[in-house]
Amino acid sequence: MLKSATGSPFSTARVAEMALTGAYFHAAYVVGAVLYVAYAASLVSRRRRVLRRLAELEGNRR
Amino acid sequence: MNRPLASETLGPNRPVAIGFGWITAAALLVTAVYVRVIFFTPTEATQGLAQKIYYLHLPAALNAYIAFGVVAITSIVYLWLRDPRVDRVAESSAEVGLLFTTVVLTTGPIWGKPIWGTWWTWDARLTLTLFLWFIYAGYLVLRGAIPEPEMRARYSAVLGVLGALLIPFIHMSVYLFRTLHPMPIVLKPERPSLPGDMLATLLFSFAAFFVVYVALLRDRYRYAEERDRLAVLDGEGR
Repeated sequence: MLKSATGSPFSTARVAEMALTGAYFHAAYVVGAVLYVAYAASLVSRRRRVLRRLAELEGNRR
Repeated sequence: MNRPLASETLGPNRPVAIGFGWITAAALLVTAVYVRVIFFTPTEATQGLAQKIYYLHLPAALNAYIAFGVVAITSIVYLWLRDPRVDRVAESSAEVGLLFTTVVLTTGPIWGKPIWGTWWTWDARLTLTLFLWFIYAGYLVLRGAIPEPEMRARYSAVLGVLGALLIPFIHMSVYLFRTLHPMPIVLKPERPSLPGDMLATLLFSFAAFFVVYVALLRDRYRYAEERDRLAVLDGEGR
């Protein structure tokens, strides 16, 4: 079972250790954000390209 | 369903208008998750802050399972009804599921390094998840390689169903094999062994990333629909 550390006194060594694993925490969230945003941007870009081409073709057919 | 023509909504020189409602809602929810994880969720006593990667890693894994489950169900429905709309849902869900699996496979090693002392190990859970990623990457490559729509949908539906059969093995792998990966602490027959405030954050994160899944699936489906409409118009123009 995971143990919540809320309220427990931290030794200096423990705080330093947590600061170290904190870098991994932030790195993981940055990597996650980059992946989600990059995918959403690729989707918007692909849709825009298709919609532009559709608008051109529909314009030519009129 | 009568959708407006692209030229009616866009005009030749107007910027392309794409609805951001769901995406914006998803982004706000994920930001709220991040704030809750940092400021309102206790830090685990032995792993420190690295344990909080859990709230990104596990919801991504669960949503990947859901996405590939949707691929399997819609693929079966496609093989039965041969409706191209169902095939588009399968295609869209596979791509979004692949994104979630990529997040799982990148955040997992970042969590593993400080806790296990290694970025990667070839144990059953990790290796099978990597196989799942390759199967659905192959699914998307297969779709791109077959130009004939009916054949493309049929072949990829079969692969979509077979790929999802790996999911129960991935979930059970920690029971079936000796593995470094921790046992489930939420999805197990007994009560979740996670403190209440951590469990609340996990459920909130899962819900937020489920909205991300729905938002991306919705947009990806629309893209597939417009791309298919373009293919028909392009074919008529030749």
